[in-house]
Amino acid sequence: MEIASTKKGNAVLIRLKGRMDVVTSSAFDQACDKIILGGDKSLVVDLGGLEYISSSGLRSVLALDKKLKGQGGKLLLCNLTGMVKEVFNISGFSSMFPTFDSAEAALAQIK
Amino acid sequence: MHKSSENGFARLKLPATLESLSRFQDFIRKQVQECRWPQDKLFKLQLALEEALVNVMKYAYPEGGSGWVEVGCRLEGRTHVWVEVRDGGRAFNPFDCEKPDLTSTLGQRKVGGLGIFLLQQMADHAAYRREHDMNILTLGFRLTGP
Repeated sequence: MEIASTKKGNAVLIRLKGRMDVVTSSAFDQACDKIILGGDKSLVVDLGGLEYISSSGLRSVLALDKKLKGQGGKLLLCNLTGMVKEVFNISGFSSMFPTFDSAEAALAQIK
Repeated sequence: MHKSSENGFARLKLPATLESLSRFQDFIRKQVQECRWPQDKLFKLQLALEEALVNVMKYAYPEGGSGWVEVGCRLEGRTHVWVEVRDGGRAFNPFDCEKPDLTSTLGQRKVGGLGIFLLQQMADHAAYRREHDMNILTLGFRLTGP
């Protein structure tokens, strides 16, 4: 899985590409921890390039959300497609997270 | 590594550690290649397999112990794929677990049981049995329609 992050105003946009499984989701955890340690608390995660996610990936997203909320920040998700969208729907995660059709729409929520 | 064939199942046996996961994924990918299934169906198979294997790799054996896990695969024409996951760990029926509460709010949310829930949603058939001191999980996948 490729993880690319860019600072966008008060938020950090993280783009994921590839497969988020039990092995790669820990790389995501570490990348986010680094961003949070750097002082950023509002993250937008773009899942548009992600083709596969397992429960480990969902667990990482959930843990990240809890971490950010605990610090007064927030997590927004965007561009859920295909299998990723289906797994979010089946697991009930799509009703728990605010999801957006584009990174721009998600970033507009963070001022 | 141990590759074998038994009852029409091609089998691969590896240490029950997360490092083995990608080898099992490659093994299954090659086995089902000739079925030429659409990608979305293959993702379902891969997801169910990952959840089954992670369950064994994380919980079947005492921490720090070395155990094994074996994946078997059998094709029935191009429309049916049977996957069998066996391990020699403690007796554990994953379907005896409590179902995750999918309606709980984010703050209360617990993620335990989610993997097994996804596995059951992805597979068209899922059954557990305990035999010869092994946990045997059988997963069936069926391609329907054009």
